[in-house]
Amino acid sequence: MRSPTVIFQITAIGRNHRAIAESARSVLYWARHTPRQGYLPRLWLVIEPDGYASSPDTYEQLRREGARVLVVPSDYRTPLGTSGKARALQYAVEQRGRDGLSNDRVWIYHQDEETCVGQDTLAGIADFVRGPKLVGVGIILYPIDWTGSPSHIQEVTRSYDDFRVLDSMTLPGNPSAGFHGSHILVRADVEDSVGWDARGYAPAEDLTFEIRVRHKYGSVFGVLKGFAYEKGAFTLRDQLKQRRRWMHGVIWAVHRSPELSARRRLTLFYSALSWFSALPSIAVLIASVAFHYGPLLLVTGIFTGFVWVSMVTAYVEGYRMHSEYLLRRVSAFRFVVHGLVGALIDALAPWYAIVSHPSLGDFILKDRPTGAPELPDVPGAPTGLPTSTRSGAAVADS
Amino acid sequence: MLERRTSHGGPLLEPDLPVESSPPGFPALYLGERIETAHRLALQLGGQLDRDGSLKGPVQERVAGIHEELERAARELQFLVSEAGVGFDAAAAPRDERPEWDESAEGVIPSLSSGAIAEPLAICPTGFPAASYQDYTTDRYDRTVGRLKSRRRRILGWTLGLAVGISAALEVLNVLAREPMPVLWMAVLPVVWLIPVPFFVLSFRGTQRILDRNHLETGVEG
Repeated sequence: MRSPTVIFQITAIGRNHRAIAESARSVLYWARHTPRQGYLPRLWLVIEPDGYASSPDTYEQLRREGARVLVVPSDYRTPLGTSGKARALQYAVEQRGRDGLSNDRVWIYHQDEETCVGQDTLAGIADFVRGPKLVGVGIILYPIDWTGSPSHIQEVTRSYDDFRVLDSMTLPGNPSAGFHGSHILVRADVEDSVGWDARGYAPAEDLTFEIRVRHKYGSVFGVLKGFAYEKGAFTLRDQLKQRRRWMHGVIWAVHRSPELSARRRLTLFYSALSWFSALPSIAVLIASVAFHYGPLLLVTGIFTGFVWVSMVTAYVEGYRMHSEYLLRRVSAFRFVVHGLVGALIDALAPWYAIVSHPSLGDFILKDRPTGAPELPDVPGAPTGLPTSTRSGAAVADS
Repeated sequence: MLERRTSHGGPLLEPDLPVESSPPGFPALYLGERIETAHRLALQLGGQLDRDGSLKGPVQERVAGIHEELERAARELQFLVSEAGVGFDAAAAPRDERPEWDESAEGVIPSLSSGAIAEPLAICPTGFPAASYQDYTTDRYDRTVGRLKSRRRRILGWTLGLAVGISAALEVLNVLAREPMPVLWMAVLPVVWLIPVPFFVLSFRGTQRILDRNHLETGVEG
């Protein structure tokens, strides 16, 4: 029996070329240095022409190192005319069809531009492709370029929340509406039969894809072992823009996804409503002091403790999950203050999504600008890395 | 060439195993197979001496010593492969385990033995100290999820205990405040707080369930 093929597919505009280079090299590195995984690893970079033009040297170097660089032609049109990332993903689907790779022996591991893999990721993939499930979803950590900023503190809660996502995904009906666009593994014939095409711009193509797969194949989702390693938004503005796109994705799916059952539509609507309720909750908390409506809080107070503890647990356990990988530690005070600021941005995001719209030109920086101030080594940080790693004295791009 | 012959003419080592120089810091590509072969030969030697009646006294001790040393060497190599995250590639796998791969196809990641070695990018271009993907090992992953799984019951207990404690304190403070009942329309305001409660309950239950039922560590079934 032939061994399966796993295509590590990084799909992005391509303008964050340093982040892409690091992600690609993490695949190249671990594919070469992890013994006997039992599958043929391939690496595809699917990028836009302007991304390629931003650093052709980087992409040609990656091509020489073993990656296949697919530049989506600017005149490429999908049958339904989708745009954005879904268009590039659909192009890759068609390319696989042309290459004879659209079958049950080929798997696609989806990566964002900043998704690095580790030895554990490859081991998890090897484990998954031997199993019966058709789509795998795993936990993402955000240790890359971690600075302890509010948006980075906020990101650690997403890793802990991934346990909810995994549970929900593997249950029939996905009751709490979780999904990822990266660190997912899909069997090629499944992905290609469903496709990514949609009418117009689908702001959360990953959610649409999950809805379609579930509609066509049922509960075929499983837990993918191993982490993926990503980076959070560098600025609060980028955090806000990123969340705005998610919310528009949910709204788009609720309004326009024909495959969505009434029950799932309700689930998605509720998850959006929960998110929307965050900002009014803060307002009500402040108002309760001003308007003295204490007696009404006798009812809500029963649940308040649970909600507060759940939120704090996500920060604490999320940070603990990251601590093995972080070279910087932040003080407890800074952690709390930045966590509050990050949470406030998340609370604001859905309302921001109401008054503004994401566009195709919504570019979120993932390449940290060069020339950023050097930070001192932090006591207690893991050691053993080359000096250049910790000082940042050398610049490696391509 | 590696081929050496025993007194009976049989090859000691696979004749076609090339001598390859590995990149600095990496175990030699065929070291595992060499240790395995040496171990097998030591076992054969022990068996032969035993059958000849010579396996006694100092000879027996020395053969046992060779066994032990080779076992240690194999364990140390395993440590190097798993801990440092470096080791063999598919090209070094025994022939019957090798898949039928077309390594010439575009986008197929060339193996170590092809000479193309990924350049370690353990350098952060920003001035910030960054963990490198070389640190993302299976061992570290297993340790992280293992610790979290071992804390599952503690998280359960603390969450429920603290939730009850905080809610009880809030209720007591509310009663003690003796505030007058507000106008009715205000009653809808605190209801906003109740909207996400089912989500948090689902999230808490789901996290507990995943940690309880799944063997998240690599190399463990389920």
